[in-house]
Amino acid sequence: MTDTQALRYIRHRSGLEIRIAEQPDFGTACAQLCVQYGAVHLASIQKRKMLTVPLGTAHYLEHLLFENADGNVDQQFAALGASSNAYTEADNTVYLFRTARHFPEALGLLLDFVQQPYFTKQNIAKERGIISQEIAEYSLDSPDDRLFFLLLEGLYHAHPVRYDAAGTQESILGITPEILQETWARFYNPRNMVLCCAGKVRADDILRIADDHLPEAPPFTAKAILPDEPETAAQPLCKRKMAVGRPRFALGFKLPPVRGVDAVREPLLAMLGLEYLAGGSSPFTKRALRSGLLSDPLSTDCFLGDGWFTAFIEGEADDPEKVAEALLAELETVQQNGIDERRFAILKRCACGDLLMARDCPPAMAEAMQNAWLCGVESPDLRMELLRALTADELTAFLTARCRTDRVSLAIIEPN
Amino acid sequence: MPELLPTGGVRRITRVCTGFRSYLLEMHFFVPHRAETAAALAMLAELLTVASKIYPDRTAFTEQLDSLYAADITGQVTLCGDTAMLTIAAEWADDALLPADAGVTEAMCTMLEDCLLHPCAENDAFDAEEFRLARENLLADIACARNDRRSDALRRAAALAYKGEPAEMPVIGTAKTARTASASQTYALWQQILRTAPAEIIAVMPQPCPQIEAMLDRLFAHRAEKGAPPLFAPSPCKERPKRMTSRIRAVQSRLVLVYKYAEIPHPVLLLLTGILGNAPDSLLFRNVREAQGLCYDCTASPVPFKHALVIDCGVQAESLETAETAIRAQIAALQSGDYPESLIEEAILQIEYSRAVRCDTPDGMAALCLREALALDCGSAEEQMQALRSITKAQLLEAANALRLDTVLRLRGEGASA
Repeated sequence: MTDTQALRYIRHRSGLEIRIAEQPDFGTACAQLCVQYGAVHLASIQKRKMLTVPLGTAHYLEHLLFENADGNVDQQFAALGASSNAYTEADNTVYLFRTARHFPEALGLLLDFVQQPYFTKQNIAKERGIISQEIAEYSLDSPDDRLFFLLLEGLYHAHPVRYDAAGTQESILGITPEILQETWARFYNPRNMVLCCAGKVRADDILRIADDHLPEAPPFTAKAILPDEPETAAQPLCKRKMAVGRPRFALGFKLPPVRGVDAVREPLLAMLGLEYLAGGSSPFTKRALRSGLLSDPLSTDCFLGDGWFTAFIEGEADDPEKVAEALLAELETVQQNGIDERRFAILKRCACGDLLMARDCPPAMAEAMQNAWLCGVESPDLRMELLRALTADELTAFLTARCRTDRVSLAIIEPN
Repeated sequence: MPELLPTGGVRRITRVCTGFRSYLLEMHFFVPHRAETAAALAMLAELLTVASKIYPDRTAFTEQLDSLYAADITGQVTLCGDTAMLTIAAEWADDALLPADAGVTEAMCTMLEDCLLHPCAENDAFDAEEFRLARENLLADIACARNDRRSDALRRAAALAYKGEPAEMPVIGTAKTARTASASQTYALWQQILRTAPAEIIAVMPQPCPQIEAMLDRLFAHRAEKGAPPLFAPSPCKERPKRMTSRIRAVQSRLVLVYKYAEIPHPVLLLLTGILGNAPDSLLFRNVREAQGLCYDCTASPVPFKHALVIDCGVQAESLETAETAIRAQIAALQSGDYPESLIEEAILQIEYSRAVRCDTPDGMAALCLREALALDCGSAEEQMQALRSITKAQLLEAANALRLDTVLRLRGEGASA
């Protein structure tokens, strides 16, 4: 099985790490600049000076950076024929563009606008209306988002991952130009960022543009502070009513946070484990479909980052609590009886295929390189290497040691 | 089961793109959108893609796909004007990236052929258990249509805008038709579609594939090499705009405006929509979102088969009036030509970009092929750009002035989802 692509890793003299995948077969190129600063970083210390910011600050900052002295940055990308965007995750923020032409100019613009904040009271006030509607549309009215954060509320006592990245309509009222400026100054240091470029790009061009746009950065000295988080789940059951057609639920396992190679390997085990337990080909699903407990297979996912790691199963059912009870009983059976080697081999093959096909376009490649950086590893191919090496015994050990029934939370959105 | 259409042809479109890592085969069958068949068609999209004679239950079927390195077979129904399009698609990894003995392409051709020719059925009816699950899932989908507030608003606006036309009905039918459809009627519908419905078959692959060609020969060699019939079904514009305000259980309110036109050449419509509001720098983005901070998203989407242009956004309840005024002001600007010339070039660049992005993935490439097959795009990228650049401001003004407001839907959020 081959999956070799030309990758380059460069530590630029500015301090910025640059990762490049030259993929000349594609017609477009993309670049994404990722800052290791996200929604959960509400408190930080730098040179003994503490800073505490309101919920939603990282996201607000992301929006505001798209304003510069020349107007809106999206419009400047559009003039180049590029499409730009950004998103705020729990522990990082990403600014990106993709284009079929003028890649060098667009890359220069990306590096400039993230380095040149332009915060005024007027643009902060204007953006508040936009963000307020984003919160209403996604955080408050989307059943999927509500379910996800309900699950995180159930799993985490204190870690800010339990809050929506956009903050609340109340919290964003407390965000000022001074808070944004101080936050930007602390964390938006090239030594705390990675630039990932993929597609129809040339490494030499990228380095030349980086030379032109990035001076050497000062040492990165800010440190985010996260609250202590107990190992247990905060609440075993969380329910909310909403205008939905059928109950939706998520059953999450709270797992110990991981870094480095473990942050690549353990999610693989978590995904294989949950698929083994409740995936579309599992004996559990077969029984649940026949008995009427479910009408559609469940889906599985995991979510991890700076100080948190959860793996969860979600879906729709008329009686979510009964489904959760049956899932936990199935887990106990697997923990006792071990893993069937034949099914394990099939699920591993499926995971390999998913990984191979996931890199089918430049943004997917750029994201794979970025995720490797966020985990603290170099090569995005490490995931495939680790996956191939996994054994059924390791999966049994993972499910037994990590997926503990006393560290579980069930979130349910019920129709009102 | 009444005859759906006179027997149509089957057109095959193949694209070989050496950089891709997977094969994608899409079969699009075209069927008139009717109340009596909509729910059955929606169930077919599931029944044909979750089990077959060889793999007669969902878990066995899924396990086989898993064992073929995450291969996938999916089904869905979408509306093209007053015509329903049943799509059965299969995607699998390029064998060249897999162990030498994987044989995924061969196995997928067999599996797909089995799904279409030998679905999980007995005595001319779908398997009772599989049919029960498909109906239950369809009823859940119908009940959950309101979960996504934006889609729900667009669906409700379509019901108002196309009242009395087939496109008025939800694409997946109603709970009533889902309950009355039977396993045998649904099976008969499939047999008829397979035998007579016009189809577009699109294959995007990293290298030429004789197995796919042979499988398609076995399925469709007896049909004429001809694709979908014309799908344009213009919706007449109301004499006076239909206005409706309803309440919804949501924090955010939704606003949808439907404009209609008698005739606008498709490239002109594409460019006009880009200038108005589906490019990052457009009139709606600049003047409704950025200048006034009224909404997060404000989008203009053409519905070419119905000769309509739909604008929608999410706003707070108190801003519904202001947002409608602001949106209509952008249409007025479009109609008077009161916008910077640079927006035209930017819209052209965005259309060029969208096309380039499509060419970079198998599903994007397949979408491009389908758009060409349905007469929405034509020619190479260069030809399309040339056609767009030859459009004059006078043509844009004429097109903008052909837009007539047909429907305004306001869904007033009651202030809380819970």
